Amino acid sequence: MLSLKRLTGSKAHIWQRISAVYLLFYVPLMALYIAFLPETNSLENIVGNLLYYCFFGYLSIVAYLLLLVHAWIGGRDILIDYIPRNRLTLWLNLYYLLLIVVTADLLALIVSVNPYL
Amino acid sequence: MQILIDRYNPQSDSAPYTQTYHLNDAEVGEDTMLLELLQQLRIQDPTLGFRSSCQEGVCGSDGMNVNGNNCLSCITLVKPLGDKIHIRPLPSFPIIKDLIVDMQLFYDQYKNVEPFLKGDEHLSRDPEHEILQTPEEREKLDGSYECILCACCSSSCPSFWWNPDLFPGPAALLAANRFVIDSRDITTIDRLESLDKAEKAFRCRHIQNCTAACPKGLNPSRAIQGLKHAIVKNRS
Repeated sequence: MLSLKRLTGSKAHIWQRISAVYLLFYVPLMALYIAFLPETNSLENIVGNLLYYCFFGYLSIVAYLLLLVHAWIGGRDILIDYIPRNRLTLWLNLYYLLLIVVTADLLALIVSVNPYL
Repeated sequence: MQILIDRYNPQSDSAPYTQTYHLNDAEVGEDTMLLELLQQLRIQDPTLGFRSSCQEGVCGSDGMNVNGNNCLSCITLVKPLGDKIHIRPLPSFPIIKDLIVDMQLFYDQYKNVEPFLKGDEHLSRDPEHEILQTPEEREKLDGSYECILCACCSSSCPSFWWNPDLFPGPAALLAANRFVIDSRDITTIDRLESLDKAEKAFRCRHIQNCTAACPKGLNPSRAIQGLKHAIVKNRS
């Protein structure tokens, strides 16, 4: 169970910066990569190309994991600031669950576009 | 000149209200301070409540919010404030009466960071032995020890408004940093570890309201940044 007292300080601070720097370089690269894809007519096609056809796939998986970390730290900080204390634990846990659901959904998408299956 | 003052006496008023006062412009000189103006108003209305003590920007007892900015009334000139001045109590603190606020939470947070030197006990017990610093080590403390605890910084900080019982606030963190960077203090690691929490040093978002509000020209935001760097360095 997540609670305000158990949230980290410097660890979150460091990971937020690492993920921000990584995404700063990854996002323009991804945009360039997509721009030069021969066929980009569907989301499945784009995700499939990003993940399965080259070394860029590894970079994309790392970027996705770091995006989750970044979203978790940013989101929990906003919740700490704006949610009334008596409801904070509930909202932190709901947000955590939401990120897990989004992750599961995207994993399902990634598996579904796997050309080797 | 029109002066609006937010007033509230929890013992007799059901809700806060704004009272309007008028003063003849001739009574306000180029060098009139806001505190003098309040003293004139209190002659008109003896029920008006505000704090003041040294009246020269040293004791920090007359912090208040004037036209949206926190300041000390005794060192704030009236003329630059314009013809209409709106005075409110310091934000985020419970009101005792009118402009007088209860600063207990602020003092509690200051106390929690243990703002005193914890040096080597053996050396401290020997009155003949001085614990020396180099001029460079001493120079690092400039800008950290001059805080007068007026609470203008903490009461302008949204992170302190939202979590005043958890977040130490700029004044307490400035004091914490003062002892972290003091070469004579031997509890640096303990101090850093106690502040390494989401609701402590890392609650600061560096919007720099504290630096803008400080009547002594100190920079708590930079001190907190230094504190964060020290915590991260200590961790790695």
